[in-house]
Amino acid sequence: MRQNRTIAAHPEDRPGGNDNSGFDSRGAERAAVDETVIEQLASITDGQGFSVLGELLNAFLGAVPGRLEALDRAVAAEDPAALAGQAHALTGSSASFGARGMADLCRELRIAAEAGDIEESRRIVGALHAEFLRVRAWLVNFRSRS
Amino acid sequence: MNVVVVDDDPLVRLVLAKAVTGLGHVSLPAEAGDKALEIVESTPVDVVVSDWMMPGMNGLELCQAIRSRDAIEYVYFMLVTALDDSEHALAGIAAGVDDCLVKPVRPFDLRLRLMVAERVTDLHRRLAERQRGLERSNVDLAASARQEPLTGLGNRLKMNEDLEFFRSRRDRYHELFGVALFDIDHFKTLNDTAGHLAGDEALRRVAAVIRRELREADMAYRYGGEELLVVLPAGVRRVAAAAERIRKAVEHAAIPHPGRPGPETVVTLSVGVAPGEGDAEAFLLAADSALYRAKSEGRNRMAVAGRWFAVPELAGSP
Repeated sequence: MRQNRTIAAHPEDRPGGNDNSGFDSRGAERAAVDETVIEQLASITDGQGFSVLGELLNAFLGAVPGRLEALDRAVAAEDPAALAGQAHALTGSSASFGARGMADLCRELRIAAEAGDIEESRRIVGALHAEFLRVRAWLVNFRSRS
Repeated sequence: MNVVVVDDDPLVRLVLAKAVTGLGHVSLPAEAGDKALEIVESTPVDVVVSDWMMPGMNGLELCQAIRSRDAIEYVYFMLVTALDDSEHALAGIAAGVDDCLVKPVRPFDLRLRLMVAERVTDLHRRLAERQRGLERSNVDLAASARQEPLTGLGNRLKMNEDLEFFRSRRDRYHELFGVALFDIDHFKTLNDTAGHLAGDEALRRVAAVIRRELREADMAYRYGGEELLVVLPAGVRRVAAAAERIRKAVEHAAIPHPGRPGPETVVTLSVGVAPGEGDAEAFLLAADSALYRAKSEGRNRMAVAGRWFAVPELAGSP
């Protein structure tokens, strides 16, 4: 794993177009979640000094499935405007929780949707579902470790 | 600090709000620019952390709306942009944004930026307090520059300003006013016999009686050495009645007047009354002539100027 790269740059600092394979440029599998972002979130505490990470992760894991369903509906309705809007909204959420692969896919989805490419959008939404499963597994694993 | 966190994405908003709260600040989340503006307008807000891209009012428009308010309190504005969005960052700073943060906002960065924001808003707050203090002293200075120190009545500057005001009300709205010019009888004898300090004390006490007899809309000034002018927003009959009331009140106040010629032993006033007609020079001269007549008719009495002299119930007193 190459954590250094994610320390050096923010998730949005990379061109989003080609790097959503789940593999980095050397072909190694990229982690679903940027751990440094999660560590940052873990540093947020409540008034009593306790980490609020659990609450934040629950909010993320609880909200994303609904967002993905909305994307499914927009694909089924072949509604590029809705797709682009929802893709943009999910970009910020994903990036905020270190899910850089999801954020990259969302950016791609937005570009495809804005181009009116429903087929490509359908493919990317499918990839997003899969990537979210990886992210969820990573976060659940992280939570059980910490 | 009170920190408004503006983002249309509930997850991003949640993270920012928790980070702000965790740093010991009060977080005020808003899901849109117009909601944030409502908070700023109804609550004391120190900092706004706003996303750029939002449906409806965007971050830049929100900043401009906040900056265009007529408020002394400074709101420190942080704009959140994508990293490659240097153009928006530049436009934001040019439009009054104080700081730009890159998405996704790292809690540690937020902590640093809020420390800067606290320093800057504290500076602005102290400047605002100083400004309010200066404004207060300006008001005080303006008042004291128009007050005659011995009597506490208005001075000539205040009198000239007020007479101009009365004249303009008269010309524009036909509101009547009149003047009563008072003079302490045998004041020179009082000064010569008891000294100037006693003279000052007599003047001060006469002024106090006059102030007590006036209503809020009536004005009184030290016109000259021992001459006091009263202006009332009323017709000449009512001005004459008020002048007569004041004259009697001063007599009843029994302010000692040692060395006074004649049977009297207390301070008395002569007064000339004139309607506020023509320019200031004209009605002050008319009042002065009436005063002169009151003096020559025996002092401690009132005389009304010009044609009003013929009105029987207003003819001299007592």
